[in-house]
Amino acid sequence: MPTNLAEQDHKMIRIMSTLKQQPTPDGSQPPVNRFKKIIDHVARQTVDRCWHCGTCSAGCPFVEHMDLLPNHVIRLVQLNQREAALKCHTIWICVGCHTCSTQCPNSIDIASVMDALRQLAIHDGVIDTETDIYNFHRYVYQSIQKHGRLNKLEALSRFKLGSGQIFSDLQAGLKMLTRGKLDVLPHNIDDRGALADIFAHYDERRRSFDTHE
Amino acid sequence: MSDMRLTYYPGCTLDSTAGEINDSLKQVCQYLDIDLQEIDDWNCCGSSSVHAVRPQLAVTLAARNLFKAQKTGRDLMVMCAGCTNRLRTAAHHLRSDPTTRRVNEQILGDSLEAEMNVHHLLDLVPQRLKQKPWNGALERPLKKLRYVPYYGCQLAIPPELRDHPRLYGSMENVMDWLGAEKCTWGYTAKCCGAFLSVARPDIVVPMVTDIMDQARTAGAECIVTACAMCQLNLELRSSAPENRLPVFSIVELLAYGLGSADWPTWFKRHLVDPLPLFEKRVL
Repeated sequence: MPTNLAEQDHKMIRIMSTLKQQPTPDGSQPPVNRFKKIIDHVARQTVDRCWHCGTCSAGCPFVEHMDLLPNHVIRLVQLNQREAALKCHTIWICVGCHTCSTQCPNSIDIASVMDALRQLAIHDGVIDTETDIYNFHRYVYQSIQKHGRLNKLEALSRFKLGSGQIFSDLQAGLKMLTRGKLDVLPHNIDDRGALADIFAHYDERRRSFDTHE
Repeated sequence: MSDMRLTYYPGCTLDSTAGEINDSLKQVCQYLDIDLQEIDDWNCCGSSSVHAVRPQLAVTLAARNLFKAQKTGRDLMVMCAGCTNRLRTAAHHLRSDPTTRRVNEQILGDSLEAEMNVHHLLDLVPQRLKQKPWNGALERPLKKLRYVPYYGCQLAIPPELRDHPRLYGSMENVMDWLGAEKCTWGYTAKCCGAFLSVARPDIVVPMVTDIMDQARTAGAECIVTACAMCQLNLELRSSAPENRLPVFSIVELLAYGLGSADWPTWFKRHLVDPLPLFEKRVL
């Protein structure tokens, strides 16, 4: 649903007015800045470099479909607001086009920060904000996990069946099939053992997609 | 023996959906005496969904390809814009971050030792077309076909890859060589909507329709892209069917110009039939 700048600003003001008090670092408290540190580490960025000029938000081609502006999300990370940052739609609407990243005057790769936030949202089980986008990622991911290369027909069919919109896009799908753009058989790589090792390594560390079935 | 010998990484899209780009690219390389050797048993580069939800895993998927590629002792060449970005990012992380290096060496039992560059085809081809004998190799000119260049977003360079060459202008150089005429517009690097085309077509349809409208307004007869996903989204998601311009890949037109006879089989795979335009303006 397209929104406008005023709505996005109002939402941010509402969130800011309910900010939890930051714990003081006296040893007994949970470590301050933990969320920000995780995001900085996973994204290999320093979100504190952001001074909220808003260039990212002005250049984002998807901004009208976001509930918070990209720099609002960066602000929530700076303030360690894990819950608010992970449950916004913005992190799922972002496709990682890097328009913001190339324009940021402080060279923050905002698209990478969004990648890290999505990973943490899945870890925390916050996956119902943009169900269709989440499921799309899940089916593509699982197809790659299974074959080593993406089988588009398999991922798209599972997405369509799962979303219950089997007949929307049927024409587009058939057109792609008849032009030879959707291979029926998957292209499996030979060394599936190596592939399994790669996925197993990361599954041990992060909750896998499957734990949310 | 060829003076330009490269390892080639096709990627999932060129291997399936965009087979016509793969074919025409290989022909372009034959004409330009570029020797390609495909990476043996390559896997997905970790693009879109994998790095969108698990960035470090995406680096390891890309690393497996890089480790295999370095064995040939050649530089690596990639045509897919998304794959180029992922493979370059992974190479950068493996070289600059000790933790990434250690973890990936542990998982894959190998390490990135070779001085291997990751090229996009458009890094190399415009320069080659200026050299002898290829500067005079144009067999079939495009006869002032009016086009707009569309690079899309994945050829944009994120901050950590800023040392890599920008590609903007390279498609125009190739199209100049082919004798086409550029129309100016402001959407050269605009995102096509990427994978939201599947999950949220309600967002992508207006974006693509706007891109098509702007191309028409600029006076173009077609759009030329360097990215297979852009090409598919532009062809598929414009709301008004009568408004759709044909969309070409730069390598299809270059292969045609260099004399390849296979172009009808490539054009048959397009979702917007480019033949009427080609028959009217070029043939």
